[in-house]
Formats: sequence, C-alpha cells, structure tokens
Amino acid sequence: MSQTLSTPRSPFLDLKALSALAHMRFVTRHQIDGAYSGRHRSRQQGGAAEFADYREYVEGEDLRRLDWKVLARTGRAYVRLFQDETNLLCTLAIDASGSMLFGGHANYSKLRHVQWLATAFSHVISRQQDQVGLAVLSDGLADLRPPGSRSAHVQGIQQAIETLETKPATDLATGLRDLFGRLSRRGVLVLMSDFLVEDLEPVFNSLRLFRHRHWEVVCLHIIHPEEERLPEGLAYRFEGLENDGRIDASPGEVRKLYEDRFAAHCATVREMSLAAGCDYRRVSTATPYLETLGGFLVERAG
Amino acid sequence: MSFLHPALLLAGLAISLPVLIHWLTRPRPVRLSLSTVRFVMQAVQQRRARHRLRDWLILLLRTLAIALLVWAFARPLLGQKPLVSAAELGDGVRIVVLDQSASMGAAVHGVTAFEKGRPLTADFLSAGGNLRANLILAGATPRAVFDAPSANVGALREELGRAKPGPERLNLQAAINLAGDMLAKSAPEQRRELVIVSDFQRTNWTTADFSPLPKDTKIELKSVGDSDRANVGILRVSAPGRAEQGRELRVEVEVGNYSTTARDIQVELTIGKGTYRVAGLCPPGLSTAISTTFTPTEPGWQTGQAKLLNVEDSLKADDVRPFALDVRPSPTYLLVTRESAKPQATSSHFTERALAPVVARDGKPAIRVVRVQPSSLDRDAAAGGDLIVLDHPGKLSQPAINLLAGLMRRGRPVLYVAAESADATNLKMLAEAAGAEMKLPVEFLPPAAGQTRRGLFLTEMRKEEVPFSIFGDSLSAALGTLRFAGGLASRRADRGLADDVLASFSDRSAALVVTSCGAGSLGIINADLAASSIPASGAFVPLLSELVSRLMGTRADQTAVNSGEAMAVYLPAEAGAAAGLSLEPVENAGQLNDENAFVTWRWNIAGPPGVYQVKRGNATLFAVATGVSKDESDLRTIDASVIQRLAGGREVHFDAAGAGGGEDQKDRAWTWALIACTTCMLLEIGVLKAFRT
Repeated sequence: MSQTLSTPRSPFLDLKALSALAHMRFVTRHQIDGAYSGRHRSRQQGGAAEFADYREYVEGEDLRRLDWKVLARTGRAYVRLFQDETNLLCTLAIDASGSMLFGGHANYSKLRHVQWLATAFSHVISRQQDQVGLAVLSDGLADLRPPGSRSAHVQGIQQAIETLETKPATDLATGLRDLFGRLSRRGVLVLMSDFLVEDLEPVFNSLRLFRHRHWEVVCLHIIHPEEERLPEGLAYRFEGLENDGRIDASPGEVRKLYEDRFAAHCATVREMSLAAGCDYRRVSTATPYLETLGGFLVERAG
Repeated sequence: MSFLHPALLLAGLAISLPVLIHWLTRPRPVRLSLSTVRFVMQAVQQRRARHRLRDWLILLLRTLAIALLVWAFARPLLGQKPLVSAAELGDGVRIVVLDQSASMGAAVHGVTAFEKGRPLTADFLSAGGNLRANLILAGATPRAVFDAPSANVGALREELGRAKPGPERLNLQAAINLAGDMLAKSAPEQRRELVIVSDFQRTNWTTADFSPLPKDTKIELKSVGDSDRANVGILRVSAPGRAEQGRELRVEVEVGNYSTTARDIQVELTIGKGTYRVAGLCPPGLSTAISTTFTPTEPGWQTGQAKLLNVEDSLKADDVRPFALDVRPSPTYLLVTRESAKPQATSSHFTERALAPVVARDGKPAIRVVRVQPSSLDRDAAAGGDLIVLDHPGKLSQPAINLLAGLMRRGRPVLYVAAESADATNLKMLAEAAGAEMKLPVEFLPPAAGQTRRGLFLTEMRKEEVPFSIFGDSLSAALGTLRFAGGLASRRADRGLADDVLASFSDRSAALVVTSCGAGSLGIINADLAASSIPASGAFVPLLSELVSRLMGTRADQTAVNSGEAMAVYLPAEAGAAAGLSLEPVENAGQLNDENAFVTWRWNIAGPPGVYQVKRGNATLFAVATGVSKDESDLRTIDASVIQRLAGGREVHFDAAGAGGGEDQKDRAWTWALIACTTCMLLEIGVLKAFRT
C-alpha cells in the first residue's frame, strides 16, 4: 500500500471511467496454463474443481480419482475427471515503432490510444487477480516485464506504458520471436500494433509460434482514421515515420488508389490473423478506448 | 522558308513555358508525417505507370501548341529561298524588269498589280558597294532607263515612280533580250542578277526563252498577279465581209470571259451617231462572238466603240474597244479582157453576167462591171475596181503585172480565169512580182503539145469551204455533171499550201485555187468558161458569187492595231500621194510615205486606244483603231512548273507569292499554324477526357 502511495498513478489510468467496467472480466477462449488457481479453465485436469467427465479406469492410475459409487453400483471402474481452473497470464505486447506516433491533425497518436487501452487492460486483468505482463516491441524486444499480479508489478507496467518511447526502425517479427523465447508459460498474448511493416509474413510466422504452444493470441489492429483516407488539399509532402522516405503527391490524384491499398492491407492483416488462429480486432483511435475495451470484454464473455 | 517577323521566333523560348508554368504553379506541398507513406508511394507509382503516357502526350501537345503559336506569330513565308535578295549588295549587276503591260492595271480590291509591284521593284533597285542596277519597263517595246547598269539608284527610283501600266501587251522576249545584252556586257567575275516583276500571264509567258541570258545569271521572278482575278474584255470588233452602203452589215463583238462563271454580257455599240445593244451569254474561260446588224446609209469611214455594260471585273482597259469600218459604195468589178463586149458566148461575157446578175428597177445593174482592155490597165483604171477579174487578158505587160501584184499586196482581190497558154506566163510573172507574199500551191503550165483538155469534171472538192459550202449535200448533184474544157496543166509547187487548192479536175490538175497575197487574195479558175458547160448551169452564178465574196472578204483587217506596237499599212489607192494627207487626231501618229507608187503609213509605237484617221482635207481616206491586245485580257497566270521548264537549266526562283495576292497565298501558313495549335489544345482536352482526368 505504501508502494502505491509512493508511486504516482499513471495519467492513463482513469479509475473513475474504468469503474464502468468493474463488473466485466477478461475471459479466455482457450484453456490456459496459470501459476495459481483461478477462474480460468486450466489445461490441467484434476483436483476438485469443476466436474468434467468419466473415463474408464486404467491400471496404475491414482485410485483417489476412482468413483467408488459407480463401481459399487455398476461393477465397472470409472475415473472422474475434473477441469482444473487457473489464473490468467496475460502479456500485453505493444508495438512501439515510429508509425505508432502518427496522430493526424488532432495530434492523438495511435501510441497514445494504445497507452490508454493497455493501461486499462492491465487494470482490468489485475483487478480480477490475474497476472499481467508487458512486452515493448520496436526494432526487437525493447522491454519485457513478465506477467505478475502484485500491485507494484502492475503499477510498474502502467508506468512503463506511460513512458513508452518509439524507435524509427521496426522489427516486429524479431521482437515477437524474442518474446516467445523469454516466456516459458503459456498464456494470452495481446498484440497491439498497426502492423505497418514491410512484410507481414514473418510477423505472423512468429505469432504462429505462440499458437503452436497453445497461446491465445489476440491481435488488436490499431488504425488511425486519418490513415484510412488521405487529407484534402492540393499537394502534400508525405514523410514516413520509420525512415521510409518522403514523397510529394496530390492526394486527389492518388486517393482512390491509396484507399484501395490501405483497405487491402487491413484485409490482409485480418485474414492472416485468423488464418494463424489468432483473434483479430480492429481498433480505431476514433473510438474511445473504454468503448473498445468494453466491447472486447463483452464479446469475450459470450 | 523565311519569316515575316523573324524576331518573334525568340518567343520560341516559350516552348519551355508549359514546364515553367507547371513548375511555377505547382502548389507548395504541405509537409505531413504519415505512417502509411509506403502506400502513398505505391499509389503514386501505380498512378505514374498509368499516366506516364498521358503526361507525355499532354506535354507534347502543349509544347507543340506553343511552338505553333510562336510560328504563327512569326508569319512563316513558305517556299524556296529567293536567289536574289533585295538586301544583298556587293559586286554585281542587277537588271530589274517591271512589266507595265495593260494586265498590270488589273485591280483586286482596288489595288492594281502594278501598284503592288512598284514597291517590290523599288526594293531591288538598291546600289551599294559595286552593285549596279538598271530598270527595264517592259511593254510592247521594252525601255531601259539607262543604256547600261548604273549606280544612280535615285534616278531609277524616280523613273519607277513615274511609271504606270500602258494599254499595251508585254513583249517579254524583247525585254529578256535587252536584259541579256546588258548582263552579257558585265565583267565575268561579277554577279549577274535578273529580277522580273510581273503578273506572269499565261498568254505572255508560255513562250518565254531565257537563252539570251548569260548562263550564270540568277533569275528571280516575282509575281504580283493573282489567278483569281476575274476579267471580261472585248477582244475584237469587226464586220466580216465587205461593208457596203445600203446593205445590211453584221458587226461581231468577240468577248472573252476569263472568270470562273458564265456571264450575261451586254455590249453597247456606238457607230457614228447610232447606238446598238448586243447581248449574249459567255461561258467561262472562253471567248464568244456576239453580233448585231445595222445598215450603213452613208459610204465612207465609220468609227465607233464597243463598251461592256454592267460588268464588274479586274481590268477596265479592255472594257472599251474603238473600231473603224470602211463602208464602201456598191462594188465595181474591173473585168480585164481583150474579148469583145458584145453579148456573145465568150468566157468574159459569161463572167460579166455572172458577176452582175441582178438588174435594178431603173434598169441599171446594182453591181457595176467595167471592162478594161489589158493595155489600158494602169493605176487610175485599177483604182475604180473593188475586184479585178482577168479573163482572156492575153499576155500582160510587166508594169501591168507589177500593178496587179501591188494591188493584191495592199488588199485588192483578183480573180483570174485561166484559159489560155498566155495565162500560164501571166500567173508565173505575177507570182514572181508578188515575191514571198504569195505562195501559189501549184504551178500552172501550158498544156502539153497534142494534149486536149476536154471533158474534165470536178473531183476532190472541198465541200466545207466557200464557195462549195453553199451547195451543202447537193454539191455532187449541182457540180458533178459539169464538164470543163480548156485551162492549164498544173503541177504541185513545193512552197505553197495544198489546202489552197479547193478543187481538182479529173486529170489531177487544179480546178480552183484561192491563195493570199499580202493583204489581198488571188482566185484562179482553171478553165475556159466558153468551152465548158458551167455557164449554162444554175450553179454558176451562186458559185461565182460565193467565190467573189470570199476573195473580197479575205482582205486582212488592217483597221485594228494593238496599242504600243509597230504598225505599217498600205493606204488604199484612192489615197493618192502622201503630199496633202494629214493624220488626226494627233499629227505625230506615225509617218506617211510614198512607196512604189503607193502611200504607206508607218507608226513605230501605235498610240493609246482610239481611232486614228488619215485625211485629205475633211475626207477620211483611211482609219485604224488602236486597242489593248487581246492577250492582255486573259489574266490567268502561268504555273511555276512551266517556268522551271522554260528556264532551261538556269537558276530560277519563281516567287508565286510576290507582294500581292500571292503574298497572301505564301503567308497563309500562319492560319494553318493557328488551326493546328487549336487542334493541339482540343486534343489535350480529349486526352484528359480519355484518361478520365
């Protein structure tokens, strides 16, 4: 508590606003591994948690799981199976590439939106006694805070989110691979990125590693509305945010082509996400982060 | 190709204008950081690939449009570079020939070709360095301002300022010859230049011969003519045949229509105190004869003029043409024969009766036939006869032969009935006395000894010719049965025209010959009429009447003379001697001289259009009407390709544009350039539309 008092609260943490989401929980769709007992279905069976099924006894099994009543009634040996429940290990992976700094005329960047959203996410997860971690991806794995549930840990994560800094270069795939090597336990990976990379294939190859190890991966595709269509005006000198050059163009002449290409990019990200077994959600910075988060949680709750 | 405003070509730098305008008007780009710049790049690249062709097309069309605009403002003058430049001086001789014929007075929009040519000529009359120039004013007789090329350009220009087109035709060859003489006298190392400023009428230029010029002469031809000049002119006024008092006379007016459309022509004829209107339709590009008739009541010279009414054309000089008609009293035929005048069956009797077949109410014949003994034939006796008929004259004396030849040369017709051997001698002497002016197609010879000319009939009659044409299809019926006797044998002469033999006998000898001699003509009937059956035939009188009409009508028309040209005519015998004769209306209208017992009227340069008369006291003895040569009425110009052929390998530059209408023709390129420029701009819009821009 003293630590809480001594550490200033993140400016992106609006508890009053988040109170509207107090009754909501982040629910996983897959069975997960957790460190402690919790509310989430564990990939482990056993214990005395929730009854799951019967199975014929196999010699050598633990006799404590034998259903004696059934044996007495039917003469057959059946073993009772129980679904173990565990807590959630959620890692928030934030794309801190230069492109995330794009904020348009309102100067509200995608990164800023992600900061709000990730802070809220960490709050919701920690509030339901689950563990939350943070991975910052830029030209690699820039920062990693493994999942934890202690208040100090959460505050540290929120502080790290607050002080996120971008780098012009981006290598999302390498960052994800590094992250995969550093996390030993399965959990949920929430990737918040605009997916503006040269080649999407390596990125999703990395994500497939997580999926192969039965991670639940959620891809939050961060999109700024001013990315969807070019601004009005005669001529612009468009300058890249990731050392990708600049170009003079008249928006009127290339607007349609641009929109087609951007829409194709979004569709590709979505298709590749789903194909890789990831959950995909398009997040617009024009939508308040609470609404986005609320919708996401509601959808997850089923 | 040259330019009217070459300085404007500097505006060609404006070709870079589209790029410059594009660069200057290019909006200043607003810097904007964009995370999706790669998509913008891809879009721009994709668009460039699609629009590269469009952009190049647009740039090409815009550049072309500006280039054409500049070209148009610079006023390109298409054609070859002139061989002789007005501004080029240096060591040389330059002869400038200015056409001052009547056609140069033809006006288009009130400006005559001569006025267009005057400044053009003045440009070439420049001297500097060792360049010497001369000006030849070319009409019927070319006139050089100086005898030799001079540096006195001021005098040349002064003379040019006074020059004006005359009522005469262009004697181009004489002008070329004169220029050739001057150029030939220049030093071989000097540059030789000939500049001819003319309207290049087809009628004058088709026979141009540049061979008198030195081979190295540079010939610059400047046209100030316009092929579109429409002209209608009176080419000729004449009265065919013999004009006689009290006899209806047909007056023909030949009108040339040198325009592109047929014209209804009205001509007002003023003859003496009478005025007549003649009208007719003239097809384009042709000359048409329209006629009227009137009956002269008084004998003597009648003068008048024909004038085109209500005609809008380029050349006014040929809209009026004066003329003179010699109205004679009833004709008198002089029958020279040694036969008796008694009404016997002699050849001369038949001839006399056929010449004057009609007897007037008062018992006197309308036509007088005066018998004259050959020995009495002299100048006084011959003066009273309009036609001299010789029938059995016997052997004529040399003076009589000379008199006959002289009369024929001056236009007196002679009819010879050759029946005896002596006639062969007379005809031979007559041919010799007439000299080169008469070329008999056959030579008449006495019949060979023992040969009897009898039972001859006519063959090879030229039925389309007078006198046979009067019989039409019944010619064979009328003359085929006739039999002839007597006459002379004949053989073909080398120098004569075979067409002059109008009929032959069955023995291939000539039966009827009509040939010209100077202004007059000679008809020969080769038969003894008394021994032939023709006098008893009904065809005799009309045949002889037609023959006489032909002989009297073929007198060359000496009453029409082209202005500016040399003239020489014999006055009629009744004019007498030159002493006491006067010329009107001007005394200096040539000279009257006695020559070979006749009076000749020589005029080196015939005066401007009008009627000029020879008078003794108040009586007019002869008259001529001067007028514009008919060649000048046809204003159509010669084609440039013909000029090149005429040049005969010499360096010739024909500037069809010149300074007048041709200039417009040459300077029309700018209009096409503007049209092309507009087309480029329209194409640009089309390209933009096609690329949906």
